[in-house]
Amino acid sequence: MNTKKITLLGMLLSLMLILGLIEKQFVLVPGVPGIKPGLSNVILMYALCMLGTKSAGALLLLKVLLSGLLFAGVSGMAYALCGGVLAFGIMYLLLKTKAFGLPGVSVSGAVMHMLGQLACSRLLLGSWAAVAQLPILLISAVITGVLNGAIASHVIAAMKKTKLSASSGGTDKEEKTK
Amino acid sequence: MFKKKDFLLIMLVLLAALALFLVQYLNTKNTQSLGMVRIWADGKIYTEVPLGKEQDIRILQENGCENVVHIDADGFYMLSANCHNQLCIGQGEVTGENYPLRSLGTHILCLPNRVDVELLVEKAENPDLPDI
Repeated sequence: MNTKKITLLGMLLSLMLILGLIEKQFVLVPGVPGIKPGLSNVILMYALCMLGTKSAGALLLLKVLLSGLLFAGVSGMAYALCGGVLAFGIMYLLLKTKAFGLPGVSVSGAVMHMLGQLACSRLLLGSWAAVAQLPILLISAVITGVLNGAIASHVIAAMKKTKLSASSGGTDKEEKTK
Repeated sequence: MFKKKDFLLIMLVLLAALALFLVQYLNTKNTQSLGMVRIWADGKIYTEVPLGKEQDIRILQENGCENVVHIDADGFYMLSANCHNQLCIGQGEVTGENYPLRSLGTHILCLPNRVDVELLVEKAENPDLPDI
């Protein structure tokens, strides 16, 4: 891992944290807690597509850890980890099949993120109460997922044209062969 | 950007959401409020309070988590909580009338403090005659 890549990952990580912080400042749908745009997934998908699985995984884990320490506390960290790991897994698998575009990948990630958090609420709360929100969360996952996927598509297309991605140290795989 | 399977996946998710909405609707259709509030903390029943007298119930846990539930004749809402996200306050009031329309149904949840406030309901014994 070269200096350029470390710097790029650091910048992406701070972007994720800032997007997460901004999303915490308002409730998107009054009366329905837990619906948020999930914009930091744009960064995660960018990393998955452009930098490789290991880099993206590191970004996810560091975001969960730092966001927990800074804003959300231990329980918030547990929720973010459950959701994040499941979302990362499904997005990695769907990207590998190459049958899905980024909107589909993003929607599936949003759905798994939500299911992970609901499972976590079952463990920590001791009841299935939060599952009542499942239908409305699924619909919001489709909307935010499609938007994030579209944003990520455009960002990746634009970044491929810039010098930054060419000089960013390449993907994890390319790095190994160097 | 979009591939064919994306639309398939999105339709699948929307269908699942629709089916779950339907299940929820059928489950709450012939229920009525028991006028009783059950408060859970840390996965255990903390206390049960009947609706009616206007009062504030303080839920104080050993780990320092503190929530206050306001109860009156119609329903209840979370008055205050020392959690970091305050989402439980934003969940509004639960009453005997509005619970079928709330996204969290009969519950108010404070996930960080692991508090669940629930309006107890029962299947109505004499459901109204079906609409014809």
